[in-house]
Amino acid sequence: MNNTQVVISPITRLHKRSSFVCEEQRITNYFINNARKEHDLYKVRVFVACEPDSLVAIGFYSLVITSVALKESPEEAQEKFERVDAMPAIYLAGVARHLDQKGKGVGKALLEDAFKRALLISEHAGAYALVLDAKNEKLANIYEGYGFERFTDESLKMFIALKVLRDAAI
Amino acid sequence: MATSFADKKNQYASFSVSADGFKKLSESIASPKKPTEKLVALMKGHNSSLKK
Repeated sequence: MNNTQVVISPITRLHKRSSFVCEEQRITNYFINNARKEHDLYKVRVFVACEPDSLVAIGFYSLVITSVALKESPEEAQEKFERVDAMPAIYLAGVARHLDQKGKGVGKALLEDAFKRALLISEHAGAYALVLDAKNEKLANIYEGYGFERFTDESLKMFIALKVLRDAAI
Repeated sequence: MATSFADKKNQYASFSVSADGFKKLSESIASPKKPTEKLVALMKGHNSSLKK
């Protein structure tokens, strides 16, 4: 099966989003109803995948600057981390592709673009890692294949050091 | 392929993790692992339309 060719660009009002549907209703609703609004407010930045010469959205991802913070800051933990209790990171807040595009490489294209954009961002603003919340165990396993690590064994919260992405891109 | 979204109350501002998770991240930053073959293949691909 040939991969779908995609063009990925920042979301605009011209993108056709109303027919977008992915596995997760909440994410579908978010993309259709809130993604552009949040993008325009710079709350998140949303990037949309379309086939060449089309404005019909077949996937998207969003990025946010965040900090990885200790859930609690007990004295012991503060000692352990020499009073560092937060680290700058980039949060891959959402990744989704249209149901019809399953297995056609759109998800991979979105990840490639997101990873490269995270590296580009890190050239302009300090960040140590790319972090995400995997939707489920199956997806967490896929992210592990790319080198993401779970914060704890059972966790779906994951990270990859940006240095690892940088080394992979050389 | 999906990631879930931050808690509405959180507003994406912080990503809270346990002390063990924080330690794991610290160690990974200090001693980054070798990229997986799958990641290298992805990063050397040409799917991205990102213009630098």
